[in-house]
Amino acid sequence: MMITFLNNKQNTPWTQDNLKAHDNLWTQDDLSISLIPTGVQLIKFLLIAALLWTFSYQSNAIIISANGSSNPNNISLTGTNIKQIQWQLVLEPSRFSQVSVRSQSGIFYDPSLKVPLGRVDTPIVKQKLAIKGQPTRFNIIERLRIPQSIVKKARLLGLNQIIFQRSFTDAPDNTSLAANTLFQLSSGSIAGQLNIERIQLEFENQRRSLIIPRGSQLNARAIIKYKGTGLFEYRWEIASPPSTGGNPIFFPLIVRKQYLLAGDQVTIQSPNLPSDLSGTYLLRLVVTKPETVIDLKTLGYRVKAQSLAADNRKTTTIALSRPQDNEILIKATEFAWLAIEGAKAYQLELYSRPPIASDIVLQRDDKPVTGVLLPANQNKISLANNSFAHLEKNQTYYWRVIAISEAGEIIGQSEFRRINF
Amino acid sequence: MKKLAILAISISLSAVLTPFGYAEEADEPFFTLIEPSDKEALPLKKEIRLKLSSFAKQMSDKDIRIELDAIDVSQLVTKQEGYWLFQPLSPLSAGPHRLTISLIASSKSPAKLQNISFEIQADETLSDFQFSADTQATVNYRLSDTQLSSPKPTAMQTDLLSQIGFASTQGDWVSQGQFDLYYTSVKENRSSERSIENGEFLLAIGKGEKQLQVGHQNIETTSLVMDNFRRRGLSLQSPIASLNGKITGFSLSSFDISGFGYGIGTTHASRRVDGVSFISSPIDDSPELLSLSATWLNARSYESADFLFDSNISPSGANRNKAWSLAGQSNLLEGQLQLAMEYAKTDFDLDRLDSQPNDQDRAFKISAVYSDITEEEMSWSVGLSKQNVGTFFQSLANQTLAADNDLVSSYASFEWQTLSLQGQIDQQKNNVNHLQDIATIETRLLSFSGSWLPQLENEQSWMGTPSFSFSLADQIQRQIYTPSNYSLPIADNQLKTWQISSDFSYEQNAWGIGLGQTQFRDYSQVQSDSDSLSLSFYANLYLDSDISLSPAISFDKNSDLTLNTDSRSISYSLQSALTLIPDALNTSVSIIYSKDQTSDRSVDGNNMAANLTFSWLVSEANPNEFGIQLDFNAVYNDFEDRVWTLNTLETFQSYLTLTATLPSRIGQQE
Repeated sequence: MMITFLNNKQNTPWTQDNLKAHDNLWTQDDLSISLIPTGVQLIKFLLIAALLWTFSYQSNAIIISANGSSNPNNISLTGTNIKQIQWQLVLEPSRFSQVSVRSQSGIFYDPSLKVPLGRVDTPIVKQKLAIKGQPTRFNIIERLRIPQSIVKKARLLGLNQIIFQRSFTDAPDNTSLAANTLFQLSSGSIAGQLNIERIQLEFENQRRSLIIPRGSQLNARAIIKYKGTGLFEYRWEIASPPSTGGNPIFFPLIVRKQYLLAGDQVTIQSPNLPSDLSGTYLLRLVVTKPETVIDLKTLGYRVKAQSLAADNRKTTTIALSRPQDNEILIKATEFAWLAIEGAKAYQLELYSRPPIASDIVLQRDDKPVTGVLLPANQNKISLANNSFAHLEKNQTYYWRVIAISEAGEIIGQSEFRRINF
Repeated sequence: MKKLAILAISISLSAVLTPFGYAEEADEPFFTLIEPSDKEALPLKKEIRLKLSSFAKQMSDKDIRIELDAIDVSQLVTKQEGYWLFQPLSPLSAGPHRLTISLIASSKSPAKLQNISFEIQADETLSDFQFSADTQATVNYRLSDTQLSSPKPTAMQTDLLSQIGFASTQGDWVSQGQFDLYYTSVKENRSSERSIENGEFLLAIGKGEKQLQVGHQNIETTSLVMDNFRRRGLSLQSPIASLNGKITGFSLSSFDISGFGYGIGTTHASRRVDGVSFISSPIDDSPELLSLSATWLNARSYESADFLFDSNISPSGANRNKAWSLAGQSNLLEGQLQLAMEYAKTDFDLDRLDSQPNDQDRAFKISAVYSDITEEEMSWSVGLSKQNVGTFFQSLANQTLAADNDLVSSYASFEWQTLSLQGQIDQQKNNVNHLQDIATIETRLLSFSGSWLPQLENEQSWMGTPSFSFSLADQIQRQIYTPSNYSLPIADNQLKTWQISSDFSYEQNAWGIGLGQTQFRDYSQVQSDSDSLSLSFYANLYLDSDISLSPAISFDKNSDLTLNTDSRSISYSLQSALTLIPDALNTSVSIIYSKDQTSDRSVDGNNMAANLTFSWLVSEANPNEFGIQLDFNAVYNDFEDRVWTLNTLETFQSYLTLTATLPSRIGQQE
């Protein structure tokens, strides 16, 4: 239950400052007593003394324990590490009051706490209402950036562990206690517990902001650098216009759980992203497991109102029959689509990444890796060996079909689908 | 831009390779390019005419494949007596082109008979200019809202967006560029203090293959020292004809920047990556035989600015990173044997003001793949690769590469008719530099996958065209070296996983299911033992040309055997699109319902989100003509948290949006 003292005049919760001010008022108003006290005065004096002892004489709180932990606590020998530390402090309050704990900075030491390695000047402050007689626990989560220079300094000293120490001071009583967190220097790539180290969001043409015509096909990906092995739970979420102009409401596009095998990097593809409304879309990857402290940036793209059709390219959408998205490409794989009117020929194209309508023509990699041109009376084909010779094993490709008219104009095109070789 | 006249064409013929002994009998090239011919002005003619040698005439047409710029055009090649003709459906662009003629024997890999290169040069008298500015203004009005946690100050919001592009051709000089401008009336949504801001831009000017680019770009070469590095800056690319290669010099910002600030991104010497990359295929007639690449970098950057050193301990300064890489790749034996290798070194000076030694390390990778096809049309391949990245290998232009990693990988694949199987064995180790102070962990992974695409006689059956696939993996991780002051091993676990999936495709519709299970056991007690089961279903249905439905269901169950708890999540989604009036009124609805629950009641909640949109295209935008569109959009979200009930929240928003679009065009409309 939350307990607050209210100042009758201002009807505001008490703070440390106005409690002290009130103590002073009582002192001035009620302690002006005669040298020879009467019985009533004596009782009054004793009561006031007891109150003073309660509110002024005794300390508010004492920090009785302080601990820090970080799990996993291994840090890479190269690069800057970002870790999450949980500081747990216990204060013993002597009365009802608002207490705060503060740590102005933290210092990296060798394991013997004799050699300082560096300092982080990031203050931590947390306030809480303390209840007399009940230990007050503070759980403070700190996102700590361990610079590469600290790790290097430790390594040059022959250390394989470093300690990060913070000294916490409570207010107003200024009792202090130090807490330590141990970090283990380890390899840059392998560890036991799964730890996400970096997430880079980008569109499949590696851009991080885009303007695309309405109806364009777009995919994004997250390049995830990690250590260890374990369960990775995530979901892609999207906020569509017009809510992105006010309070973005993120919808889950897809929810996935997958075990990450040993490795150091995995690329997670987004589902096809919507582009049916003009305005700004916001895309994010929400990692629900393991807990991560890295900044998860949002990827934004703008959809312009005129569709591809209005953008000087009057095209019909070609419906694809097979293969489905993300299938495995083998020689027996048959690419099939629905015919459209007016086509003189179809061209099946495989790209290493899909060209996006807003790409500048001079950007490279906008030509298909391979493909097949075939007459309009054919709407399915399997790749021959000469086409396979252009493909690399263990690669993902993006395929589509375009229809070309007698005049040589592109009059139809399909969506892109992924296929793994 | 497509109206580039063809002025001159230069041609080179490759050496004749050895296609199953034919070469020994042939004294002349199999094919001679007759048209387009050298030094002939061909402004309109598009036909490509190949003359067959007397020997080539004996070959079966079905066995010959002709590719133009890697697109197989064989099916549109017509035969006349002694000639093969191909007429491209649209004009070929200016620049180099390549015809590749291969022999497809039924039981062997394709044998390349001949490569014929030709170049189409632009008309020097041609002058062309195009300018485009796609501008749109959007006015959003929030009609209603409930329970918004922090409603924006005004219900009305205005956005302006303009995408400016130009392309110019003056003879063989080509320039083009793109520049984006944004404005929003909501200050909180601006990326900077400026009310009008720029996103990414790229300007390019080139003559032939020489090209200068300014703006956000990737450098083409991918290597151990530079990969996935897209930054603002400038680059200059030039061909080296004698080596059939090109060289690119570049200067890019080491930070990812956008907007008007920072100029072209390279003005600050301490935040810059300067470098040179070079790629070459020195054997012009058969470029696949050998390709070489090299990258050299000199980079400077800073550690995070929010970190302060104690001045008594270490001064802070910019760090400097030098790196280089050499790589080679070769396709031998008619492409049956692929070899690749790369060696790279880095030098990293963390703080240029201190006296500490630089970190220097190296990385290399090497791979070989051999593939073949048997007489029975079974194709198979085996491969072996090794990648070794030193403990202190660091490149600012490849931040996703993990240092301290030695990976040996071998794989084999087999394919026969409609069946394919792949197997892979990996072994990975850290502590590449054998440091005594850090633990060494070894990981072994065995994986096996396959797919089957049965070809049914009756594609109209309920299975349509099916495809089935499966995968298995077994990974064991052990700590093989523990430093003296480690209390417990940090890795000792095993992970087994399998998945199966089936897809069924019809002429237009499709559906599929997937099932997977994973078992994780951690003997080091660092993580919980767990079992996981997942099941998924999807369908894409087109009821007619105007209605589409895409339902999907996914179910996951995770059992934490250490804590003895289960977590279950299930998600249903339905997306549909309906055209009410073609080219005028469309509507779309998407609904997602998900439920998450754990057996210990730490999580128990469900979430429903729905989105409804009506779009009315009042007038379609055309070049230099306004387009108007009116949208109604409603978003509903109901989150119920049965454990922390204070988190329960139901929100609703509806908007009316008016969008005016003006695609401005100057110059040719193509």
